[in-house]
Amino acid sequence: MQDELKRIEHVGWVIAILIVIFFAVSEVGISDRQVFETSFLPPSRVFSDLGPVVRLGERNKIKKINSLVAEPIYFNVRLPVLSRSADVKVFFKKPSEVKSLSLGVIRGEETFDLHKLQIVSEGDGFIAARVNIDLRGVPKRDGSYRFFIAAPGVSSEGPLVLRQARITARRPSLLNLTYGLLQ
Amino acid sequence: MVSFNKNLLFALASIARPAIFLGSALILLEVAAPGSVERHLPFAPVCFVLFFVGGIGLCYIHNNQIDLKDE
Repeated sequence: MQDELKRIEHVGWVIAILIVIFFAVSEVGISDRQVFETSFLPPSRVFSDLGPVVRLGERNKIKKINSLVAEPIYFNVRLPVLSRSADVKVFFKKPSEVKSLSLGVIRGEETFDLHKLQIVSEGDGFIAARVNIDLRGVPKRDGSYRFFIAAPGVSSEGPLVLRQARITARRPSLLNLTYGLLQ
Repeated sequence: MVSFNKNLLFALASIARPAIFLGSALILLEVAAPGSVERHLPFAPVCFVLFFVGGIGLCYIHNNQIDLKDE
């Protein structure tokens, strides 16, 4: 029985060490960029749900669409702790009343950064727009950055349809990080 | 008196030390890089289970004087 216990314990050690390696690698990452994608349906541990609920219209899990009937709409994202910037790309369909779309990140109680989304492609009825956000100095709540989408002009008659968000988190290379630590 | 299945106790005893190691490592990771563990799994319940399993396992090892050292 004791031999059996030792065998199980050895397997336990291997599993525990593999789990620790997985968490360390997922945080530091092999590459200096990590991509996170969501359709917000359902929310995940990386992306929270969109909110507040009263500003949301029809949502469809199968078609992966979220209708926004008022703004701003908030969502939280847990990014690796070493992330210095985030390249955010959103796929949406906007009514004619909405002239421009902006993405913001909350900095404090009443402070935020607002960036206008630049359209990069159109097709499939959806528009893809992106913006690069500097995350240095942006505070986190429960390990999450709080983003919001501002789309002046949306209403229940002319909702903004959000299909997907893709965030590419970037950190300095390991060489730069090591150099920074040594200084 | 609460009684446990003997096989279950043996299983807990065998993974007690790896479970406590894993629980401590997860806490260190979460403290060093907030959100790193929470991004993947519910941190508090997982740590509770790991230390609970580890605690019961270590008590069983201690009470039954089981030697898990490699020869």
